[in-house]
Amino acid sequence: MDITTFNLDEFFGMSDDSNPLMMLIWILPIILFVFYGQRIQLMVSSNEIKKSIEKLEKFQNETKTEFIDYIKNTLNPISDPTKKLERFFEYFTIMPVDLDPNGIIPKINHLIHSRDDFTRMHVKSLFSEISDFEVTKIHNLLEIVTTLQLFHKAARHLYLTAKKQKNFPLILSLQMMIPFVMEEAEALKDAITALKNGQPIGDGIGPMVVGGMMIEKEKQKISFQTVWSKSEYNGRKLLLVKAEGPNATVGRLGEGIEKIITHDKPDLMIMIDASLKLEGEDSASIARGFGAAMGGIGTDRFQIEDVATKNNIPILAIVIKQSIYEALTVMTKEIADQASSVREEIYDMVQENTKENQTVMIVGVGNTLGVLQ
Amino acid sequence: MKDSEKKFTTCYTVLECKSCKKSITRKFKSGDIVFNKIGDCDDCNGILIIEKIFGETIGPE
Repeated sequence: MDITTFNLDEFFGMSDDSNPLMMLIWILPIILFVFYGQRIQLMVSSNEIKKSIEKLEKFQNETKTEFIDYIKNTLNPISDPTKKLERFFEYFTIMPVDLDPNGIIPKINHLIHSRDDFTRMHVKSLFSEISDFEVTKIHNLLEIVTTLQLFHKAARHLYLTAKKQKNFPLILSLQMMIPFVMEEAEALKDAITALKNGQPIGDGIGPMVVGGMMIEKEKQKISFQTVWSKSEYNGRKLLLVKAEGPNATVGRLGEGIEKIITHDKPDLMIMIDASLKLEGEDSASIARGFGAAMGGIGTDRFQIEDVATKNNIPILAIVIKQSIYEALTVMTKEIADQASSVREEIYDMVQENTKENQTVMIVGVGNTLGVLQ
Repeated sequence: MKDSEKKFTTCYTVLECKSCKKSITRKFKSGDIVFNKIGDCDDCNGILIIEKIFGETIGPE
């Protein structure tokens, strides 16, 4: 293009022989975008967010209905549980004050345990007779419905606030966060089927690995919904710990491990858990590392790290990578197939890092739904 | 939601004989639990246990 012959008037349609309509076509969008650009972008973005919020509401309503139908049709409650359950969906948890974080862990532990005990007691009161297995399943289902309700309420609050205040930055941050929320919401919604049927979920790979090592060994209860066994490998003593299957529970591993260590101090601790994979990483791939492999609120991990530090016990970790969807829904074939490979890795680790007559504690971390020991 | 957007998961149970290591895969039945003993092996009379339970999903990624 020859810029010396470029005519600005002609370009903008302002020369004498130009069409006024052409001029308007040029000028109007510029004015429109200068003054209303942000508002237009707000409309486009908020429209997308609105669709996601509608989807969240649909997930919330669907899971609620599915949950109530499951209780009514499969478990024979004493009376219609709908009203009582509706009240449960609205329960919230206020975390302890953290202005002075010293001593906050026992407070959180107490809060979480008392919330769980309370929920379990009320779930049991809905039935004249119910197994522990079903109670844990209902407990998990209740958490799913409550979480989906919370997601919907929080997203809707931010969306409506942004619209009311015409707050473009708030819409932007919501637009950034909503795909992550939707990914988790979809996983939670689909987790309902696995929970109702008592099928193992991806997160259960840790307990599945350790459970396999506990078959035909004597099992003892060490803390609430947590079991342990003694075993032996190439002259090493193995202490195997996991949540009590086939319940839908993660157990109280922190408490259990603390108790075991008081009378049976291990020389090494190996923790096996499912871990969220990074985008691009292969699903069901195995990784080794250092430190306590454990998700959740952090209180159990704190207890384990604390007791390991006091007793100078090194902690090694093996994790099985998976997406949030795979972790919460029925275990995939790829993940299930890794159980035997992980067991081999554990034995290698024991062999490489300890001598004969030493003791190794092996902990299977995760929800042990549908997995015995 | 259109049918093409739905995910369908079929769940399978893998049984394995502890003696002869024969493996059988069948559809998941209610009450199946991993490491549960569910009978004897037809070939060697060994103990048949549920080795794994997994789901296969068909549908959009």
